[in-house]
Amino acid sequence: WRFNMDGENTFVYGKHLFSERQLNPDDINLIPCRVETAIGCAWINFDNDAPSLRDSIGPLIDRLEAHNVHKLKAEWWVGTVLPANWKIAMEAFMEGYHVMTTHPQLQDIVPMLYDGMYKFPRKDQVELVDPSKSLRENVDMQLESMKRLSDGMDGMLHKKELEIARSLADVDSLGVEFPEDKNMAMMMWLGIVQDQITKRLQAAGEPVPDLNTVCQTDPINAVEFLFPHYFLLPYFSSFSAYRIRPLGPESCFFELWSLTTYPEDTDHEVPMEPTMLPYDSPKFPPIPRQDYSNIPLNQIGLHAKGFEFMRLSKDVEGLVSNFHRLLDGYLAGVPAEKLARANQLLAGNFDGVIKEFEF
Amino acid sequence: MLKSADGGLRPVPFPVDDPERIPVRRYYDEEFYKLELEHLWPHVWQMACRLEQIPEVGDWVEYSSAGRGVIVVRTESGVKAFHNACRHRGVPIAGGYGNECGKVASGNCAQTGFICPFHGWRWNIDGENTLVYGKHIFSDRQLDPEDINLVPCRLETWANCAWINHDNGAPSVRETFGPVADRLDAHGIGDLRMEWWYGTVLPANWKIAMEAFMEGYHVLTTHPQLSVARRDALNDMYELASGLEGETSQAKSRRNLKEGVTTRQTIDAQFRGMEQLSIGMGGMVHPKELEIMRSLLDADLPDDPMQATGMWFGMVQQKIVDELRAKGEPIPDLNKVAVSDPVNAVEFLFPHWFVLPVFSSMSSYRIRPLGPESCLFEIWSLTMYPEDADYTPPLEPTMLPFDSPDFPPIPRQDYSNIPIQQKGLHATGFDFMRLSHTTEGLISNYHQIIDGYLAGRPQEQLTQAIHELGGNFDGPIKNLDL
Repeated sequence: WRFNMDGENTFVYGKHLFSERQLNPDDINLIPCRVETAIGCAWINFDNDAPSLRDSIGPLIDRLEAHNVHKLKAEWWVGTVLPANWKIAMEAFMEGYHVMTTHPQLQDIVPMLYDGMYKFPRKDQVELVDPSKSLRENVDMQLESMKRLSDGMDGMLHKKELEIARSLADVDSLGVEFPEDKNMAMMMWLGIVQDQITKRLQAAGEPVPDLNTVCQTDPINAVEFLFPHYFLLPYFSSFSAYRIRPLGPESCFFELWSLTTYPEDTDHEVPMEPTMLPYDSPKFPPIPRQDYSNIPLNQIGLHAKGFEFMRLSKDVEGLVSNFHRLLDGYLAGVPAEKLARANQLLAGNFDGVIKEFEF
Repeated sequence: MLKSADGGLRPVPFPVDDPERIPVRRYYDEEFYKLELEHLWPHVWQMACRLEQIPEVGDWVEYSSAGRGVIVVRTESGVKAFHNACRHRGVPIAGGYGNECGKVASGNCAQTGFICPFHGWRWNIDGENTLVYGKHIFSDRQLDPEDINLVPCRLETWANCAWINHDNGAPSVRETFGPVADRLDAHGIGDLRMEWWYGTVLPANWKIAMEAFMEGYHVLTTHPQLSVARRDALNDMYELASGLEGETSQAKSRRNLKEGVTTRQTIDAQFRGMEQLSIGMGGMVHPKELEIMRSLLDADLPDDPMQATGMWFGMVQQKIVDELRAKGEPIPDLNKVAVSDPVNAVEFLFPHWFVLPVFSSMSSYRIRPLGPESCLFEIWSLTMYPEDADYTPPLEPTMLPFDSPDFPPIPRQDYSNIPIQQKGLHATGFDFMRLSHTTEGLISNYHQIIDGYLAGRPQEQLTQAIHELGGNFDGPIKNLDL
């Protein structure tokens, strides 16, 4: 039997073998599935009445597109089967509180940053610097931190961006007067880095937005979770992405992408399927590898006697709570508009607070 | 109390209604397996580790069974256990491997305490929380010390092992096992140490694996070398008419002498049998004991082979005691305890531990369920060492495939039956195990106790029934009042 690219049946072999009522065109055309495109992906929904993708995810879609996420292409794509519930696998990525212990190499190089976020009550300003060190020394620490993120994730902080940042290490030769306050000086330096990434990649023909502008006009978080199963992790102009699918109550399929921009005229061959690896493979970049070493253990530990509930932080593990309660909304049959409004509250909620829903 | 909410007993699927017939679905049905996980395993004493694994303060090992893990740790004030999950989001605070690979997580926490690998929460050796990283990010009510200390698990030590029970209301280890525990103590079980330790995954229900070791009736066919070794002088005791109620297997064997057999022939046959047992088990009759036996083959003995057999075993046991004590081993008076505290060649400690004593050394087995048709079977050789010996215990089992030629011959022969038996259970027309009421009683009796747990019978009844299993290897079906 044949169908054209619009799903219309074009041929039934030996159609005289069938009662006429079997071959009503409305019945034998392929059944369409709801699909929308955004942020460079095709999104499907089995529910024809569900609110649109934009109404579900909300303005975050526009902010992501302001960052040109829809112009990114897959550089590489890997997948693995984790012996864990899909939610356990995802929750490993819903807060930065685990960085100190699970990714000690990130903590060690910029301890003031993570200590300022978790060890000590947060101040208004993020702690980007060690005030006892010079600006140049702090820049070196930031560069090493970027290197560890880049080695660790590949996509999220791309090698090409790291190279550009490194070329700006010599703060005295940039022709810029940095403020006395080292935290402000660091923010200025990071602005210079973003500016150079923008200019140099644009010069190479890559569709990179003005990073400094969009950070102000369309701020996005270092990790954005798109309910129920997609993550985007931007640092500068490149992204990492994750997708999680359930395989059973204690098994899930976890995919990882490096997404980056390419010059408009490049003939880049996108991967057509993921490279499958065992979850403990040393071929994974170090950062997910560290997370994957906890996730299977977490699933086992859930069964221990006396462990009845996750004991969450209201300040930094709010996304875990919020996404579970949104899930409950679906299970309970809460009206779609309320679910959509709750969904929109998850934008930027990584490492964030528990939110109130209408249900 | 184990009773269900409405005060009545729970219905048990495929129950043992006829004690001579055990319904086959108990050995592979998913629902039956789940009921065991829900109503049996949480209320029983499980052998969690041997104490030689945790000699120093701070030493810990992980034990996991039926999906639930605990950490056993030696503290200043004794051996304790904690349920193995961080109080934050449930990551195991140590280990977390699960069972199948046989790997045993272990370490020493004296310097650092326990540190969860996810967000770095910490506990000291006594399970008290000592650090919540960034605790200001939590509501006060989340961090009540009572809630965030590690949850303790009931633990007792006996027979140089740590035993855990998920039921805080269960009777003690001794109260549960009954007088057989005291008899094994008299035989020095608490002074034994691991010599070697193997493990294997058997593609069979845990109960099928265990039942291979609950009677000697299989020896003639499954371990022919044991029968052949003794054939000149000894009849097959299972061919003979039934013995007296309560007769030990040792007494039974003395009735087995062939017509006209001489003392010489009898003693040689007994020795060869022991030799095959020693080779076959790689322990149980320890090589050092076998050599002592060999040295007494020419001993002066009466012409009456029955008298001679009794005397000879007495001499053997005395010499074992004398020679091994001279080396500094804490051997009990074997002749004395054989009379005062007789133990069977195989003792089964419900629900999952076996010990096989002959003289001063013992073999031991532990079985854990991995699924309705899969289990982890571990086997130890246990012996005495001089108090000052330079002793290094194995820290985890050597895992072998179940058909490995590296297993000692006797378990290897049993392991060749067990997997095919599991398959045979599914054959059409095979509906129940057809048991001998005189020799396969242990199988019936322990199944009835399992039903008691599944149904929710009062603990006292179950405990009394467990006492009946002492010495019941190769024995009769009992009236358990369940």
